[in-house]
Amino acid sequence: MSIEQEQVQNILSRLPEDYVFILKEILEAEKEILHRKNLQGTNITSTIMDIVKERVK
Amino acid sequence: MLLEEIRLKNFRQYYNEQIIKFSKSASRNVTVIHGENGSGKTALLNAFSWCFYGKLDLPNSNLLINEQSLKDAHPNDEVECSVSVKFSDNEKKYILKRRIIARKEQQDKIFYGEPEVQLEYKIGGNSEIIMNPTDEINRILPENLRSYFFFDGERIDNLSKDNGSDEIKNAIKNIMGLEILERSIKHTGDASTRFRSELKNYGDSKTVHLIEEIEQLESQLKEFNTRRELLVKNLDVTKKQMKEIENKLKFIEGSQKLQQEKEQKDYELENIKTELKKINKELQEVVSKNGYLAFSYTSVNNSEVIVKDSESDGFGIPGIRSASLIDDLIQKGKCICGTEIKENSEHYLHLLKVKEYLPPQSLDSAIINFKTGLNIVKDNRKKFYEQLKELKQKEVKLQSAERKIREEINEIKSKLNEKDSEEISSLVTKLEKLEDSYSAINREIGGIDNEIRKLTDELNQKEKEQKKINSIAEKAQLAQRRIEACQTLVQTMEDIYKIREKLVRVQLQERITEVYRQFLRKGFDIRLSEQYELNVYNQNNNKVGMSQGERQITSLAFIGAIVDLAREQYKKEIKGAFEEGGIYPLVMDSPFGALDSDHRERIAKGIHKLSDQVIVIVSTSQWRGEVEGQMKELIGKEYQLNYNDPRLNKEQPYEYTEAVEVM
Repeated sequence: MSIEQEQVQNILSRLPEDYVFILKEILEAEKEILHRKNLQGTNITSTIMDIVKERVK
Repeated sequence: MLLEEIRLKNFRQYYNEQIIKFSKSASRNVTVIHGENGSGKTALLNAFSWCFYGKLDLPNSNLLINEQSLKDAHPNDEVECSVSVKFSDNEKKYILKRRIIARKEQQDKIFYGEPEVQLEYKIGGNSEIIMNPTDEINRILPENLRSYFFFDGERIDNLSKDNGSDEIKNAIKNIMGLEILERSIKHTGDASTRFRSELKNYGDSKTVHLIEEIEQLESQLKEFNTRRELLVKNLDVTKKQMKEIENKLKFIEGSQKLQQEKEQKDYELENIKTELKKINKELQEVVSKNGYLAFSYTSVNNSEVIVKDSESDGFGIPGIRSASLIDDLIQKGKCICGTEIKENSEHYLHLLKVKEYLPPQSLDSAIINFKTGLNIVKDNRKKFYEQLKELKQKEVKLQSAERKIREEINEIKSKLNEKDSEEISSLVTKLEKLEDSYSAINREIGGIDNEIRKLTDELNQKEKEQKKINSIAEKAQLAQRRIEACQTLVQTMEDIYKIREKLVRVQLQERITEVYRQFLRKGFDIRLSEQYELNVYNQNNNKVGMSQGERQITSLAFIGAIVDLAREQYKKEIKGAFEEGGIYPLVMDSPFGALDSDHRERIAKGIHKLSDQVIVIVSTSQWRGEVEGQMKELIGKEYQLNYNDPRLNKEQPYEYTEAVEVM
């Protein structure tokens, strides 16, 4: 494992498990729309809110 | 992504349909398309960017449709001009077609329709039309990277000029997976703000009031940040305008020499400013570390008076503070002074005596040690003042050098102003105005930074207060937990971003250096600055001004390094969440234009290794010789662009280009 990966793992290991899933899902949601020139109509903020709501109850 | 073929139908000088197929072979990954000047090489490069993004960078860009095809048409006939590109990406096969239809009306009037674009993809035998092709194209090959992958060798040297850093930064972020983190940070922050608004609906009056205050602070912060972004852009534009004027002054006979002198002085001034910053930093460090010594004078003097002649029994030994140390020395059989200690020897007995007189029985050892300590403080104070003096002297010297150079620059400016040339004086006036506005913008940014700092502190304070309020309803508590989740994640993503950014910079630096050494004959060093600026240094570690050819090589090395790194990430067996990477083709028009024979050979030898697919569009004269020699064995496909000269072909007396495969 590279030093960078170790550092990232170290940061992630300090997070509660639910937060790691939220982070993963946020990144996936962002990836879906990453190459859109215009973010209008993507509701990405609402999507992130839904992801958080699903895990933090 | 790999390109399979391009079809040009009545596009610029390409009459009827011309097809060029690209090599996808791993061992022969180069496709060469060569032609004489005016045969349509740059039009071919532009056909790619028109097809993918609808962008054209050619003179008379409105004249897309082949002239002869319009002439051939009868009234009410329609003529199609189109470019379609077949390509594959992640096992999907795509056909992208952009076309424009023109209808010939009476009296040779032409009516042009709107360009249409269609993207079709095939996977496992099924074919489907993609409804929003722009998004899909941007996903496969982002538009802001088009100048990197479809690059014009005659223009590409912009990359290594001063104003290339923004383009460089964006390209790196995009390819190396930093943009996804950057966007996530922003949007998760937005989500947190929205949760806070929800909190307002459930909280008590104190909470609501606090949230309103926080929202107000956040909105002010946002305004300042927006203003700052705008100012930074303005600063960049102003800097570019200044650079342009300075370049113009360098090429006017009357101002050339003075402008060159001024540039030299500007360079010296920059160096002095950097040195001054360094000295200031050192001064800060020295003062924060040893500044207390400046206040030790009275206490040290008073202490010296108090402990003077206060030793009474003569049993004090410097360095000895505890009985265990004496026991230790006896056990080892050797004293601090190096004398061997044997049982019942003189030294042995003396140590035992000393042990008896350790504090609190006698204070001699403590007094001796304290006196030593006082001497150390005095010594350190002396050194501190000496160091301070030395740094201050350096600072004063540099400040005076700075003043002198500023005066010299002003002198040069006045000389330029006095020049009896309207052109020069108008440029100098413009430059002065720009310099004033540059300073004003810089000052405003400084002020805004200060405001941002203050607001951020205040905001943090309010957020802490808000967290402390316990008397909130269940729903409010839930909203609060969600806010905290968002804030924690933003912090986590920022930490990861820092790590990733550092790694990307290191990896890219290594790869650029590797490629650059391979391409450039001179032993220059290429460095990527904190701001992602490409700088080149000579053996004496001085920044070098590059020739057009060297700039071209620098840019090629950079693009090659990015493509190579993106490919490496893509092919990694175990990938991290942000290491997407990708396969990108390199389509180059005239990459050897400004290069001498040796550099052509070097580039030709190395460029095919950097990408899975290299398409070289080149003039016949640039192709023949060392380039052909190096690339011959790597060619998978070769085309010749045949230009029909109407003066020579009486049967077809019109201009057109045919792409003919060389077998």
